[in-house]
Amino acid sequence: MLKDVAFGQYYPVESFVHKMDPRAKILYLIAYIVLIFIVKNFYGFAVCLALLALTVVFARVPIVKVLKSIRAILFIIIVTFLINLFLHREEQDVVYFSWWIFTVTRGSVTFATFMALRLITLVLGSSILTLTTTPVALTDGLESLLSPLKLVKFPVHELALIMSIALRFIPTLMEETERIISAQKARGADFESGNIFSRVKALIPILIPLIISAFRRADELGDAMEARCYTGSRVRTKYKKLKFSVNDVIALFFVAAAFAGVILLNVYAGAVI
Amino acid sequence: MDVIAKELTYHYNKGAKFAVLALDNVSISIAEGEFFGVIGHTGSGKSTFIQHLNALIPVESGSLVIGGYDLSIRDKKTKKSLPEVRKKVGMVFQYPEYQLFAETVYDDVAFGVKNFNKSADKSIIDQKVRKAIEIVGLDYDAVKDESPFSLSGGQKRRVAIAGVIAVEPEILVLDEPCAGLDPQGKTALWKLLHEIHSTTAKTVIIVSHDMNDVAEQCTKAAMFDGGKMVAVGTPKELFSDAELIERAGLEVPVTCYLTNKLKGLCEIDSDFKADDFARKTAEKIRNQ
Ligand SMILES: Nc1ncnc2c1ncn2[C@@H]1O[C@H](COP(=O)(O)OP(=O)(O)OP(=O)(O)O)[C@@H](O)[C@H]1O
Ligand SMILES: [Mg+2]
Repeated sequence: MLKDVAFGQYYPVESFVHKMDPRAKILYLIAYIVLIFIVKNFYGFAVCLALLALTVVFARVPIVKVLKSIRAILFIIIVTFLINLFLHREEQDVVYFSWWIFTVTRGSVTFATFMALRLITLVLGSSILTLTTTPVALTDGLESLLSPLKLVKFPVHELALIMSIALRFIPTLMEETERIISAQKARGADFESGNIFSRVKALIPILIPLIISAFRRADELGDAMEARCYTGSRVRTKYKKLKFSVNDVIALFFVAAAFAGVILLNVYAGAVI
Repeated sequence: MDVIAKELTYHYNKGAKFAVLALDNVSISIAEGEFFGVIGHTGSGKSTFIQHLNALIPVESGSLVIGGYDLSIRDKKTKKSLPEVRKKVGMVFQYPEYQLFAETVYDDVAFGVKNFNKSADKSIIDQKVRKAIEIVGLDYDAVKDESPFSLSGGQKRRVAIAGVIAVEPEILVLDEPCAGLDPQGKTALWKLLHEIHSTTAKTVIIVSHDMNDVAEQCTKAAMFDGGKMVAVGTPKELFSDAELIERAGLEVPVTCYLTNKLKGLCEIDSDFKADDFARKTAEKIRNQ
């Protein structure tokens, strides 16, 4: 089913991480991403992975679910790995293998592995955020974090609204797509054979009804919002107020410790990259 | 072509945590020539059942034979014959007007015809499209170059139905074709369906929520409840058991309700069609 693709991957259990404030989770994720970009050696990576593993344990999310997120970018990981492996050059290097423009050296093996690890840990970390935070909480958190931008007249609330509407309608549109595909299949549409051009052309009977129905829905939603006196951000209050809790403070200690560890290791354990 | 389903069972999201049993051991046979109603409470599995009929949903377990095609066998040959099955079993989805896409009414109606008759001449396609548009009661020369999106809701639905009947299916399946139509539109649509039934499509299978319509129009009907087929028969047989109907969360037709109300006063043995009921009641009253 189309509906099953990545979205709505929120994994509903009660856990330490689920209970954290979405703002804290977003900030810690950013910190974590910074961390995996300043790491200079494999010891530092071990620290990042330990932080990651700890989070997974405290999130009570099955490890398979977390690992699944790699599948989406597996291709990119493999391609970057191969490109780095064969084309990365360093001065004064041990050459393992060389043919035409391709060379594999000790430096390139390390570099390629390092980059692949970065990508993988990046995706794993982000997937924990989406697995433990509902889309609504996520947009709420973003809205709150971006709210200083209101000072420069940036439409933060509207942006958050657009995001949450988009997220809300993804499953609906998926369902709609499936229905339209069925209907056109019933009229003999063939999406599976022919060359690339005829396949692209075969998508027209799906895309046009889909776009039209998206516009229709947008119209209806706009009317419904207006009918309920929606006027934008100025006077709106929130039903669920975001609040930092003790969990966020505890988590902060771990993130800070990881940071300290990585920086110390960067300084004392030498750099491989 | 007869439709014979035996112990048909289907789960949505099979194997996942949220698996839904949508069809539960459904055995049903629909003979050629029938104007067959499919009724049931919302979520009872009607749409799931009819989508099996042109192989949009693969048979999970049980068997389904339509004419000479056994859809429960999954091999290359069956896969190859899918276009044939879909050509012979026309399917009109709920709110079919949302599936229009082409620039002109002509192109939209011709879409199916062209897909199913890859090597057909333009003149033959023209002829089929014209015939279909005329059957659904639109003026071919007036609408053929219009954009389907500029038509009214009722006209759009007619165009969408024309797109299916232009293929001249032997079995025409419709999922709640009357949803959202005004009373006149509904009457016109039923008339149109009977016309199609007597000309191009030998069998019509129709999902309906309106028991009055089913009593009035169908030769036979099957009732679904929670994925099971709980009853099948002529409207007269079905609606005679008012308790069964209500247990499935449905309302009996008005004529049936009146018959039950009048019990004791005068016994009316009609087939629950309004005309028949009125005539027989009048007769009874005159005699008493
Ligand atoms: N794509 C889907 N994915 C998961 N479950 C589904 C899907 N489609 C239908 N179902 C479930 O299967 C069951 C039968 O659905 P179905 O659409 O066949 O009912 P129906 O009788 O046509 O209802 P209605 O009268 O509302 O159209 C319902 O419980 C429904 O929730
Ligand atoms: Mg349905």
